[in-house]
Amino acid sequence: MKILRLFGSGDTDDRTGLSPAARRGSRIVPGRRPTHPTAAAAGYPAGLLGGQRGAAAVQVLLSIAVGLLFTLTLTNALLMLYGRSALQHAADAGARAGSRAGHGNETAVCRQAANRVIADLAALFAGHAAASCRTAGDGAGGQLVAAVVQADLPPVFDGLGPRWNVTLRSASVREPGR
Amino acid sequence: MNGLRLLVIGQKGSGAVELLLVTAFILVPAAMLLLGLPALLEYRSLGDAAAREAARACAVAPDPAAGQQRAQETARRMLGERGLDPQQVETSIDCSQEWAPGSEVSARISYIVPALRILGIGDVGSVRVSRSYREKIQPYRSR
Repeated sequence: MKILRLFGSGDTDDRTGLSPAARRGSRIVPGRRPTHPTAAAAGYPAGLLGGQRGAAAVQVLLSIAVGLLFTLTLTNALLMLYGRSALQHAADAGARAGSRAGHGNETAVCRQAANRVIADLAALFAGHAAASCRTAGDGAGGQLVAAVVQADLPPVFDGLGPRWNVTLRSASVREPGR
Repeated sequence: MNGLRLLVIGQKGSGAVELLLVTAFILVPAAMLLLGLPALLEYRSLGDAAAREAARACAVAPDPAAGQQRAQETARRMLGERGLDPQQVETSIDCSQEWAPGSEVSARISYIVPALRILGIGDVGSVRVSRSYREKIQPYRSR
């Protein structure tokens, strides 16, 4: 109040903190908390809906909530993208390991290598991914070791986003004479 | 009438509107953009894998003609399995000319992919991705 007085606003009411113009539009009842003029004009009661007290707190709370939700959802999506990339690498590594294995061991070595990469790089999704391998012809007389990793990636922060079903394939040319 | 005036020129609810606008026009597009970036890296990695396997197919083949054919087939298969149309891909594999024990063969894969894939909206622009790989043929190999 002292500050306002210094700047020539001496008419401000010490009790209500309102200027004369504001006081004219407000419903000041002796002994009761005054209604904000705009709220009074709109017919709102004093308190919860009428004033702007606490509006900043509500805004900050809402902003933080939305920001946090957004960040967590984005993190979820990025972690799932990373998981997918790691699983693709697992399929690549499995196929390459299988292609260098001895005859008859290709699929076992391939699956073992793929599962190792899944456990190392995509531990978050390890229980939700399975690798399978097989040998196949390349259509031109050569042999390939093909790896397939199937996964049903769950959101890391549960409930923030859908599950993602992915199938990742890779193949590697089998070394002859092994 | 007074209520309508307050609705139009008042500031009530402006915070909520600002929050909605910022979310719709800044946060969500930024997120879509961010989530679309890994796609380009994936295209590069796909090209690497296809070029590597094509070069290997050539290097382990019993003769240059078979090597050329196997390399083409392998590259086509790898690209097709990961969602690229093999017809849209340029492959350059010099298996027949360079093929000899101890020499190196190379494979080059080139294709056009969307520059930016915005999730849920579509593709923007295009960029050519070229990847190559060299593989040495074993010098003391037996056919």
